[in-house]
Amino acid sequence: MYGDLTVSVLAKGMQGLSRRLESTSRNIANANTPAYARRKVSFEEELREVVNGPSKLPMAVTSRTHIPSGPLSVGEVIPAETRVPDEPYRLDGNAVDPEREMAVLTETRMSYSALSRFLARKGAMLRYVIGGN
Amino acid sequence: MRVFRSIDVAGSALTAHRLWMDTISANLANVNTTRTPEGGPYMRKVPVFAEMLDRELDGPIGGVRVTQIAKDSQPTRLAYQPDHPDAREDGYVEFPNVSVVREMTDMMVASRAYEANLAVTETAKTMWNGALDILRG
Repeated sequence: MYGDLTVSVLAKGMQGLSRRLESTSRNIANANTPAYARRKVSFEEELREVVNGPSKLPMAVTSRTHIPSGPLSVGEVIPAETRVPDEPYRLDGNAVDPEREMAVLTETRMSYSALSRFLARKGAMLRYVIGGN
Repeated sequence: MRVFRSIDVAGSALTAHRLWMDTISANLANVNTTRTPEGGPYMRKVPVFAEMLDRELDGPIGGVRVTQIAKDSQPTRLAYQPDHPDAREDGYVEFPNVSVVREMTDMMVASRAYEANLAVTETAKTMWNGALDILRG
């Protein structure tokens, strides 16, 4: 299973979604904290570039010490959490929109369960090929 | 543990919002209290929420906590009741600066926020159960 692009992409997707769950839970927990800036996690775009090839012309990297313009492999996609500072939603400076956060929460849960089902199916296929049940 | 961070975060919010609910009930219970140990009428209590930045693990936990329970500095409600034992010289009685309507709306916000955090906990649970099911195929 190592080196299989499907498995590594699915695993990375699940990692990213679980980071997103974390940041969403942080946002919902701080829905009543004044001056709280909401957090978001984005990784889909980078993952897509790795899978489909870069959409922009990549910079050539000829040495280990060069900084690449984007992730070169699935392992280099790091789902990072960023603050969204300039988006106050209420007068007290809080930037959490509860409806949006609940929608993100549901979306994250559904995507995560879809990915985990895909991964389970992949494992079942391998088991079938090996000859077990 | 890292994987259960979301539940920790939601748990901190559950604690904070229950404390808010306790403050609201204290405010509502004391809506007509004119005597306190410090003297004077009861003053409305408000919890101050702050983001929790705890870097003991690999990054902030990012939950919420109540840093203090502050007193509302709004002026007290004056009512002309010269027969009241706590009436001032001019016949006015200082009643707490608690507004029942305000407390009721706050109560609604607190209870909805509590529910939202429960939903987060439930979602986290569902997701990790799904991840465990990968092994089952």
